[in-house]
Parts: sequence; structure tokens; C-alpha cells
Amino acid sequence: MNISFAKMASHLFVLFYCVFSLFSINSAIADNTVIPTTSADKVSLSVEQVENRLQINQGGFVSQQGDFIQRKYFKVLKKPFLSSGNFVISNDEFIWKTRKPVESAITFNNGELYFKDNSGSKKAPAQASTIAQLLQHLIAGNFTALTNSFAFYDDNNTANCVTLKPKTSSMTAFIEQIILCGDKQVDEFVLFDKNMNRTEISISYNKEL
Amino acid sequence: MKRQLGLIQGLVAMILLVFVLITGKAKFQADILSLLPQNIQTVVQDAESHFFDGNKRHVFISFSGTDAKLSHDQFFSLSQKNPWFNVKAIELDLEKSVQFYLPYQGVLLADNFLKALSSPESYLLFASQKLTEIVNPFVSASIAQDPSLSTAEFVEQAFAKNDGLALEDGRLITTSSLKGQQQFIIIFTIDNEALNVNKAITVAQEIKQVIHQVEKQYPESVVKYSGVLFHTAENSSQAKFEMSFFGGLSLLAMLVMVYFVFRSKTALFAVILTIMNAVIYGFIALALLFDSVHIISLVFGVTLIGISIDYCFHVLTELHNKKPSLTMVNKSIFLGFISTALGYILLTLAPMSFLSQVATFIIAGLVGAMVCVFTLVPTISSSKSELNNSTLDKKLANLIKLIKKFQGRRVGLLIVVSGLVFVSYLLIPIKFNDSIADLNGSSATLISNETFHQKTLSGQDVKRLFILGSTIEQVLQTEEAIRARILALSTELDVTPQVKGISDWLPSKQRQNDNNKRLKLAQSNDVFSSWEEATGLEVTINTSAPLTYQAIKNSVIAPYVLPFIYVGLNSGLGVDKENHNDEFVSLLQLSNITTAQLVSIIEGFGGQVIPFDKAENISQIMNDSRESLLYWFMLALIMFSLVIWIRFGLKAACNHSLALVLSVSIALMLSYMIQGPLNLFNVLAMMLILALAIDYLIFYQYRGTNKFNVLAISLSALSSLFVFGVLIFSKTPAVYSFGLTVMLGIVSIFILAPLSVVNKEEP
Repeated sequence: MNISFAKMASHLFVLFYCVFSLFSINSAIADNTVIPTTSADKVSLSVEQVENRLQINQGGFVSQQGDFIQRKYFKVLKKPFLSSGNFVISNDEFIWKTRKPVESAITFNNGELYFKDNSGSKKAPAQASTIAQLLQHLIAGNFTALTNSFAFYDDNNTANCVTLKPKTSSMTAFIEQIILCGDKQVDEFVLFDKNMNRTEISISYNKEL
Repeated sequence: MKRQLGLIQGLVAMILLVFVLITGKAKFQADILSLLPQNIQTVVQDAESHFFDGNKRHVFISFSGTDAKLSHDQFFSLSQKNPWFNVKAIELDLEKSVQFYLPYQGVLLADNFLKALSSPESYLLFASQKLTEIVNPFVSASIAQDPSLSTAEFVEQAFAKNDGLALEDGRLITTSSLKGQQQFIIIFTIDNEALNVNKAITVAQEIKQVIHQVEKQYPESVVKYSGVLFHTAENSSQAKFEMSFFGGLSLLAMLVMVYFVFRSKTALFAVILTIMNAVIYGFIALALLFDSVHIISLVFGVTLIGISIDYCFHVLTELHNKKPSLTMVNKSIFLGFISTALGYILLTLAPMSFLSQVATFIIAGLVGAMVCVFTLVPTISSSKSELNNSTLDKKLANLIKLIKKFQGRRVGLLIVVSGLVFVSYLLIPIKFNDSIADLNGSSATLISNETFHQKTLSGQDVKRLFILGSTIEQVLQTEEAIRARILALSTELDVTPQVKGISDWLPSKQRQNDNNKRLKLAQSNDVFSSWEEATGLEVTINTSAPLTYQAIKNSVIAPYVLPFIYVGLNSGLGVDKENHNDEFVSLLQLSNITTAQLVSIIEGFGGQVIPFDKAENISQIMNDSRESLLYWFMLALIMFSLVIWIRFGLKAACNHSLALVLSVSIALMLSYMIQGPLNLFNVLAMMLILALAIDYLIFYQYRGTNKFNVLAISLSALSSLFVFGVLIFSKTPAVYSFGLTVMLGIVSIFILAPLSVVNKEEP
């Protein structure tokens, strides 16, 4: 068989294009379109500006309970790892219960942390206390508390979102940035870790307590 | 000639004093821990220094209450401008730590991971649990290279055990909370210099001022402080106060007494000169013989004033005799000095190094006093005029009359006193309780703060073990064997025991080998298959080279690991080439373990595992020292009795021994009634009573109840009472116990000594 070089090249190009397209489609399926903001996108925001932007006033915060869905996107995972559960939040208590695929619960009550996993272990993960308090502040929209650890930036992509960049070593140890979105209440936030893996948490509220 | 000798020695002493002061040889310290006995085993002692010496420079400030966070921030902000405030930024580089461990995947397994390997279902649950955590930096950093998550779990478990503190918004918080309240902690490290006596007082004061400002601004917050710095500051302030106050008070009382008795300025001058000479000699000896002088040695050393002045009294009273016989007095003084010096040398048998300093100060001081009273005092006080004090004469005559009356009924009196003492000991058995707290004059607030911080940071029932071995592998295997026993025990307990040590970060090679076998077995049993199906990941098990201490010691995790291991290299070959002469000691910290449980845990390990409880060890050593001192007291008593027997006959020996035993017994019984359980320092006081009592007995034996001898002994007893009596006002329990027993002993021997004199040699 005598195939010309140009023909072979065109076949290779088509093959490469197909493979690339498939890969891109797969990646797009596995990887959501949320991308972290770069420093060039950033416009610094004050607590008041964040509250105005999301129309969240922490002063008017009331106890809430609801459900959450968590999607964990790791670069090595072909599809996001899903988990779900429910939560209860008030000024002095925060309960985060994961129901699926395995049960676990973090309770933060008056500054004291309780943890329980599916095996009944009460030994909390090393970072549980920091994360529990962070979640409590994020869901409550308590930007005044968050300002101790994070700087706020305008997310140019979406009107109802802000970007939080950690400014303390305790946070930068495992969080690169957070994108928080909401309208009158926090609906979703995306946590990017140091390896740029991301965890998306979508929240739905049941009713006011 | 005498005067010239006296002046020359004075000049030499002054030159030496200036020398030690100018060259800075006189260094003082008030670190209470330096008073403590050292461990006999060198390697254990070195390991102890390695593990705990750094802690001496730590200062702990905790904040609780409603405004805890605000008061924490305020303290931080106010302290920053001070040079002593040196907070190390805590850089937790989890990413690098995980990267360090990743090449060893396949040999490192955490306890939870091992449990999960029992079946595909339990492993899937374990791994899914890890992935449902909102943020897990260990998983995130390692899942790509180690999809089994074994590395992530191993590093996470090691960090989780790291300490009782967590970092939250840049503030250290305690992971255990008190009554639902969060505790904020600031830990900073002061320079070594700040622990020097004067500097410690200033730095502690400055810190307390900042705390006071914070408390004023946030009255709802509770701020507690602790650390060696505060103990040093409190103890040195206290010692300084006690030294100047007690020393000043007893000196003033004695000068008033001297003036009242002798009514002459030259007598006052002689007394002052004797004391000064004694103190200068003592001080020079201390400065030349010891690297640093403990301030508590000087508090005990105040007693020098009381003893040295005795010599002066004997010379002064004899000089006022019509026919002074200084030869006899000097002979008595010399014999008295020998006996007192022997008594103080016995103090050095006690394990506390500062007692050697006390003995040195007193013995050298007495040499100084003796030289002064033999040379200078006779030349400046040679008035040879009789004492002209009618009130004193009258009182003295009454006293001699009383003594003679007692002497006439000595047998009956001695029987009654002996009977009373015997019955009292039968009815009230004396109890002893030695404790490290006897050495500490720190305030109750500081001691309670320290206990609070210890509980908060390390948990309840904290026990420490030293694991000894000739190789690191041996040490690690022993640690793992102990962990296995604790794990077996924990199933029976309500509260899970916690274990912290080097084996959290570095398993033994034997364990690493076993781990690899377990992993391979799990893989052959398809334990990872469900997880692989659920995630699309592929778990591969490699046989990597084992993790070693050599790899860890220069790594990113070295700061977490090295504090738990002491390496004593005796071969000079370096740590990479361990040999049988090397010694390794690791520190294993256990919490939520009772003493009884600890005994069963370490049973059978022999000398390889040593429970380390500094306070308990010291109390035990003090207890042993007290018991051995009692034997030494008996030996000293027998020796003294033999000397008296040879010199004055059997009857005198028996009488003197009885007087000594009764005096000491009375002093101990009365001390017990006043103080409660006795301690090592009451027994140490017995040795001093013996030394002083021998003086009185010898003087009575040589010079009888003549006016000048009775006067000298009475003045001696009074001066000793002033000196030792004021010690009962000391806030340091050891000083109080010592002063109380000596004071009671002096009163007893003052009454009993004349009763024991027989066949008196008239001068």
C-alpha cells in the first residue's frame, strides 16, 4: 500500500482531533466549568460590599436547616465523588450530617467539636474544627467573622458570587480559595484546595427553625 | 603579731572578693528545677535534658471567658513591642509532609487503615469516608500517587496526635474545652538570659503588667500564666526579700543584744567584723567553687550569722574575765568548729546540690569567723574590764542558780523528760511526707495555673515513659509492644488512652515489613476492588525501601519527630553507623492512663522502659535521702559519744548522747505537732542541731557553769534563736521546716545541755 505523506498526515490529524475532542468532552463532563479566579480578575471587596452584592445581612440571620449535595472533583477521578446530607445551623450550634454514601456527623456546639463516623469513631479529623467553623460562617453568611481569615474579591464571572482568598497560615494550609454564591442566602460554595482539586457544595433550605 | 595576721587575712579576703566580683565569677540563679537531684543513669539524664530543657524557656498564657478571643488579641498586640515576646509562626506544611512520606507507601499503615483492610466493604466505607470530608489536605495531596489513601491516613493520624492544640484563624486553641468554653493559648519562648535572677523578675513583671492591662480592658476574660520564668521570678523575689529581711532582722536583734550585754562599741565592732569576715570567706568560697550560686543556698546560709557570732561571744565574754584564758576558749572554739563543720559536711550527703553550697558557705564562713576571733577580736576588744551590767549580772546569777538547781535533780528530770518523749512517740507516731513542693515557694495562683495548663495541653492522667535501647529499631519495637498492650487495655476502658511518640512518625522496620505483607495480602484478597470500581482508580502495592531515622532527621517532619528521641552516640561513627555502644532513648507520652494501669503495661520490660515522673522521682529520692540521713545521724551520734567517752569517760558520753537524742526527739515531735507531716528538711535540721548541741556540750564540759561560759552559751543560743527563728516566717516550706526544727532543738539543748555535764573540768 502506497499512502502519500500528506494523506497520512491528514489521517493522523483527524485521528488526533477525534481523540482530543473525546478527551475534552470527557473532561468537560468530569470537570465542571467552574474555574478559580486568577489574581488579574480580582477586585477587593469590603464586608459591606459583599453583603450588598449577595444581599445577605448577617444581622438578620435566623436559624436554618436544610440539605446539601457535595461534589468532589479530583483530577484523578473520572467523575465527581458525590455525597449528600443535611445540616442545622444557629448562632451557637452547627450540625453537618453526611447521609450518603457513608454516615458521619460533625457537631460544633458552643465552640466544642463532636465527631462521629460510620465506624462509631469519635476521633475528629485533624482539620475538622477549623472546617466546621468555616462552614458555619460560610452558610450563615457571617462575613465579619470570615474577614479574620479571608480577603474578599469580586468574582467577575457571576454577579451573585464573591471569591474568598485565605490570609492566615491555618487556612492557606489547605484552602486555596473559595467561591461563594447566593442571593439573600448562601446557595452554593466551591472550595479549591492547594492542589486545585475542588469541592462544590450546593445548599437547599427547608424552613426556618 | 595577731593583729598583723588578722589584717593580712582581711586584706587578702578583700582582694579576693574584689576579684570574684570584677571577673564576674559570682553568678546567681533561682531556677527551682536546678535544685532537683539528677538521675544516676547518665543516658537517662542526658535524654531528660534533651526532652525537657527547652520547655524551661516557654511561657504559657491562656485566655478563657466570654471575651477570650478579644483578650488574646489584645495581649498579642500589646506584647509585640516587648523584646521578650518571641512567638514562632507555626508553619504547618502538610503538603511537604505528605510528599516526604509518599515514597514509602506500601510500608506505612495507620491503625484505622489496618482495621479497614479486613474486607472490601469495610475498606470501601473507610475510603468513601475520607472522600466525603469537605476538605482533607492529606487525601488531596496524595490520592494521585497513592490511591489506596494509606499515606494520607498515616500522615493525618501522626498530625492528629501531635498535640492538644489546633490553629484557628491564626490563634492557638485548645482541642479540649473547659465547660464548653474555648481556651486560647499563646506560647512564646524567652531567651536563656531572661531566666537569670534579676532579669526574670523584670520580665515576669512586664508580662503581668500586660495581663493586668488586658484584664482591665476585658474584665469578663480569665487570663492565666505559667512557666519556669514565673517560678524563678517569684522564688528569687521571695528569697531576696527573705535574705535581706531575715538577715537584717536577726543582725539587728543580735547587735541590740550585744550592746545590751557588753555596753561597748568595740564589742559591737568585733561582732560586726566577725560576721563580715565570715560572710566574705563564705561568699568567696562559693564563687570560686561553684559555677553558679543558687539563691536558696544563701537563704539557708543566713544561719552563718548565728553560728559565727557564737565564736565572737566566747572570746568577748572571756576577755571580760579577770583572768582571761583565751587558750581554753580557742581550744573550745576549734573543737566546736570541727564538730559543726562535720555536721554541715553531712548535709552534702543529701541529693540536692544546693546543700553542698550551704555547707561550703557555712564551713568557709566559720573559718573566716574563727580567723577573725583568733586574731583581730582579742586585739580590738582587750579592755579586760569586767562586765559592768547589774541587770545582766542579776539575770545571769538567776540563770546559773536555776541551772544548778536542775543539775541537782538531773536524774529525776532526765527520767521525766525521757518518759514524756517516749510516751509522746508512742501516742503520736510521726509521719513523713516528702514532696518537691517543699522546695517551691511559688504562689498558690501560679501553681494552680500550671496544673490547669498541664491538664489543658496534655490531658488527664499524663504519664511519660523513657524507652531505652542500643538501636533505634529496638526502641521502636519496644514502643510498638507497649502500644499493643495499651490497645488491648483500651477495650476495657471508657476513656480511650492516647499515646504519642516517635513511632507515630516512624514505625519499626519489622512493623513496616509486616505492613507491606498485610497490604499485599489485602490486594490478593481483592480488598481494594470495590473502591477501584467506584472511583476508577487503580491501587498498586509496591515494596519500597523502609523509612529510616536517617531519612527523617533532616526532613520536613524532623521538628515533630526529634523532640521524641535522644541519640547518645558513643562510637563516634555517627548516627548512620549505629553500634552496640550507642544509646537511644525515646519519650512515649500516654494520657488517660492510671498509675495502676501503667504498672501492668510496663511489666516485664525491665530496664528498657522507665516511667518518668519527675515529681514522683524527686519525692522518692528525698524520701530515700531522709532515711539515709537518719542512719548518718545515728553514726554521727555514735562517733561523738566515742570521742566524749575517750575524753571524759563513759558516764559523760551516755549523758551527752541522751541529751542529744532527747533534744532532737523533742524538736521533731514539736515540729510534727506544729507543722504536720515532717520532711527531709526537718531531718536535715537534726544534723544542724547535732552540730550546735555538740558546741554547747563541749563548752559546758570544758568550762562548766562559770558566769562567762553560761553568758556565752546563752548569747549563742539567743543569737541562734534569732537567726533560725526568723526562718519560720519563710514562704518556702523547706526553709520553714528547717528553721522550725532547729529553733526547737536549740531551746531543748539549751535546757538539757547543763543537765548532762559530769566530771566537769574546771579551767
